[in-house]
Amino acid sequence: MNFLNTILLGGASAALIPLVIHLLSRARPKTVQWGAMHLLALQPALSSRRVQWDSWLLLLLRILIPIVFAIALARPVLTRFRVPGYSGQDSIQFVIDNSLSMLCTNDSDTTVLEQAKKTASNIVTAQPSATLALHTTQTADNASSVANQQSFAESLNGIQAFGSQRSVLAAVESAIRTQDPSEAGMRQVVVISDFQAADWSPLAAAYDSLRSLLQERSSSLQLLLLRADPQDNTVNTRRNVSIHMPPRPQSAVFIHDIYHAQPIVRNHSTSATTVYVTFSVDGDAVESRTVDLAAGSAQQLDFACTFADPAWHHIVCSLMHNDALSADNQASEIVQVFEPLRVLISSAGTITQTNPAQNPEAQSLAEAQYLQLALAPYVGRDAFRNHFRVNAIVAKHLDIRSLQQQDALVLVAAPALSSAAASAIEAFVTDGGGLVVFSGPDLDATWYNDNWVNNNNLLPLRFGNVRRQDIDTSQLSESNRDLATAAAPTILMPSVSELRSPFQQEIASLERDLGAVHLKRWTDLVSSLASESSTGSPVRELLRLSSGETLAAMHRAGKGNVVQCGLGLSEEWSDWPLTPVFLPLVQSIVLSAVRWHSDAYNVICGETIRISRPVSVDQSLPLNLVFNQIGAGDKAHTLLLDSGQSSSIVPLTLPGGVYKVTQLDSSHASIPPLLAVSNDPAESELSRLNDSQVESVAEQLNATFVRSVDELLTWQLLQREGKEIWPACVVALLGLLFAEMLLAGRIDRGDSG
Amino acid sequence: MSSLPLLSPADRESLLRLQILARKVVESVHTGMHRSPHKGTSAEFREHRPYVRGDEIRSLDWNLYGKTDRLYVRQYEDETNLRAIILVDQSGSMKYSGTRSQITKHQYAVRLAACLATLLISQQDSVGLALYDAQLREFMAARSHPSHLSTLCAALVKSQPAGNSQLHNVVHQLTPRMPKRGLVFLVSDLFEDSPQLLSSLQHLRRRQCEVVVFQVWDPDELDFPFRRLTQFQSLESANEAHVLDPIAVRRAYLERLAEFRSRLAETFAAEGIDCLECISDQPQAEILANYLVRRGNPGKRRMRGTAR
Repeated sequence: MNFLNTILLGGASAALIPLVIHLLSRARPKTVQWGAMHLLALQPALSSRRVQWDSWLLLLLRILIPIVFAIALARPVLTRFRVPGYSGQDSIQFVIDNSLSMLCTNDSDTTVLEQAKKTASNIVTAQPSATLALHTTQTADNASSVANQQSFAESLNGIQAFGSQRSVLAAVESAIRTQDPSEAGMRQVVVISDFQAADWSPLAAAYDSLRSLLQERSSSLQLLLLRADPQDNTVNTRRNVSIHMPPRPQSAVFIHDIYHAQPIVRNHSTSATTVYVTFSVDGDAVESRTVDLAAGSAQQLDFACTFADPAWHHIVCSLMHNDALSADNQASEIVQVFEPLRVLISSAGTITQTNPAQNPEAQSLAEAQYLQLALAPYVGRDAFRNHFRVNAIVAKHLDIRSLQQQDALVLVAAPALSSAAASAIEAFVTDGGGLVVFSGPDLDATWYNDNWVNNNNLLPLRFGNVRRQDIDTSQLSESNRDLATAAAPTILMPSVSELRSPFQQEIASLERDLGAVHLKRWTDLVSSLASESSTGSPVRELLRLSSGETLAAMHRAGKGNVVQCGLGLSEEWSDWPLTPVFLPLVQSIVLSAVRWHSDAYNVICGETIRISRPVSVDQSLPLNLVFNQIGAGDKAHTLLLDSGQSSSIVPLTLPGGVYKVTQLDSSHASIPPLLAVSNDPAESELSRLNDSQVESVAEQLNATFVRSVDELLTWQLLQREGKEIWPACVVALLGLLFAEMLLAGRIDRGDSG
Repeated sequence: MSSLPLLSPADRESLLRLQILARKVVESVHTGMHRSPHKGTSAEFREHRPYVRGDEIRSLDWNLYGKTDRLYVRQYEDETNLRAIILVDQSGSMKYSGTRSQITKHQYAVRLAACLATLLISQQDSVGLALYDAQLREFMAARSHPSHLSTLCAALVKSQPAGNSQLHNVVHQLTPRMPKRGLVFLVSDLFEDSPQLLSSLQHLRRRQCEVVVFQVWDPDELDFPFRRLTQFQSLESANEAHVLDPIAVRRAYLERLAEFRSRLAETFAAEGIDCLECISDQPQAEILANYLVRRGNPGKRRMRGTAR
């Protein structure tokens, strides 16, 4: 047993006072001249002895009282509760939960995050000699080890909240892993959180993993869970209204298209409320609405708008509502608007009219004409609604000049091309042009395989044999489900969804129609190992038969995309040009070939984004990106990557909002100029775990739940020094005082006789 | 007043103070409640009663005989004053003065006696005084002259408590000198042998004396407040001393005290003796008022054998 205030043990000498008083009072009897001697009587010997015992017992109590009091003041500790082998310096890894919910405010407009920072600061102040490190739940594994309190305070102040989906447990795991097991002393990971259910979802596997990790590291490594605002009941976590944009496939938007932004407004509180929603496009308020929301309800709004110029636009939906969490009162979305794409169709035969819309009666049923109709269905005054401006050319006339100013070239069952045409097309694709090659009766597969597969890998796959009626209608019907299944994932695959086809939803609804296509012939597309190994660009399957054979595929060649399709457009090969699925499917396939920004620009905070650079750029140059938040003044976030690779996948942890991306030092990164970062909607739920639930979590993690800094410091003291037993001393002291009072009263009353 | 020159200056001052005190006390209580119960010859007619053999012939009312042809005797109010003796205990036990009272029990008894004497003489009653311990130390016959009060007070002032008290000896010495059917005030702590005390009081009662006892207590004697180890030295006997742990003996003391008081109360009740307990920190006026109220209320009186 040790004493924390040993000097106060000297107070035990006060025990001499009652002893001296007792002895002095016993030594000198007081003399009283007394008259009523006949009323005095000597007591029986037994009673006198009993009184003597009582007196001695009283004296003993009075001696013990100052001794026990002095011991209690000296703060005795039982050292057998101390962490075994404890010596050296303490090491504390702080994990500050900086999820969005930590921005909840109390009545005095203090956020929970600020309280968490203050809590951490108090802990550090109480332990000036500890080695410190700081982790946050929303940043990656880059713990900031800090040498002293000042740098710790600076790091602490720099923490801001994000609405990402990163789990607190991941941050805790990161903190545990950064602990050096060889360190002597007490090592702790202190997690300060508001314990939102969304962040501490009870995933047993995750808990087990973390617990086993804790046990692996060392027995002296302690995990502590601490509430950020233990005594603050004024945080009204149930009073919140949020708005967010539901994720959806990025689709192509053309000028004059009607675009529908569909944010979801959700009332998380237990009472009905009315909110004021403002929609703004490119910073200009366009429309405002009042929305009534029942308790716990959600409502999807529909905001329609059109864009007149082809550019990057941002739509921001803002809520005007005084709630506990204001950070989720805004949702934004980036829209890339295109002008109609220029497409050149090249086929073996001659097309009578370069623009069939001018003479519809003269249209032949040639394959190219089907394609023209599908790509530019509107005529007359509605022609402006077409997404494509189509020109046609005979294959043998193809040259560099004809490909200028074109976005894509479609080869329909083209025969062997001249070397000049082939070179022109290769250059066109390498510079970013799109190429679509449809199979057909006139296709010279041997030429294509020799020149564009074996030679330069322009095509993703080899053209195989022409299959004839091996799959009839009935077979397609039987495989309708499989085909639909094949088509659905194909269309929805990233390579297709990146295209932002305006027909995403229509294609999904017409998948069953695709299964009804009467397929008579097609060309096999055969994988070429040589091409894959040489280009390194993955081949993405767009269409597939139920038998598993690839029907359409694409890959990237140079800057451009190449789509290879085993389907023919001739009536002899199938009837799909006459089916409803033809138009959206053809448009989507052609869109697939056009060079897009394949990188995501509507991301959730914490989501990883791919930042790629062309091979031609010096990869050793650092990638320096600046994200300026639009509408937040000059607030800028810099992302500096020592790349060395042609593409980097980085988690983008930015506060929710719209960002203008600027590349410094000629980074040449392929990244959209605008970026919309949205918060994880789960953060808006504001459903906190109560103390018993947190205790349950702590039990599963083999951790300790402490409710306040004082409790934490007491716990640390216990670990460092042992168990304090002054409360027991105080109880003993009270017991002694009570016994002394009883005994003295008894003796005063003369009950002893 | 003849004895006054014998007083020392301090005693004279004490005497004056005692007289002033007694006068104030008597004035403050309700006077006139005491009326002599004795009846005898006087000019004030009281009532007629039928003649019986042995009545004096001169007391017959001849006028009434002439009217009624029957013999009646006339009776008159007796205006002769009450003859009272105040017995003041001056034994050593009366010297006790506790921590809470300003005066000794003897001083309290002296003041009370002076007050009684003043009260009685102011009503033209005759008052005598007897100071005693084991023996009768001083006796003054009952007189009603106002100057007698000074003599009594001087004797009281001069009295010094010492020795033990033996009331039965005193009573036997007083008997020849005491008037029959008189009023006896006994001011004492009654710390003596109970059977002898009882016999003394019975003796007085047999002489048809009305006895009123003022038992004087010090507050310490009633609650025994001592805590430390104490040597109790007897005030009546220099050889008697006990070193005791007051805490140890307190309970037994209080039990004995209660028993002593209850025994006296039973004795007084049996003998028709009125007893008033006086605590030395209690005002004398309150004692006198209490006494007079009890005398004026027959329902509360315990005295018997009131003389006509």
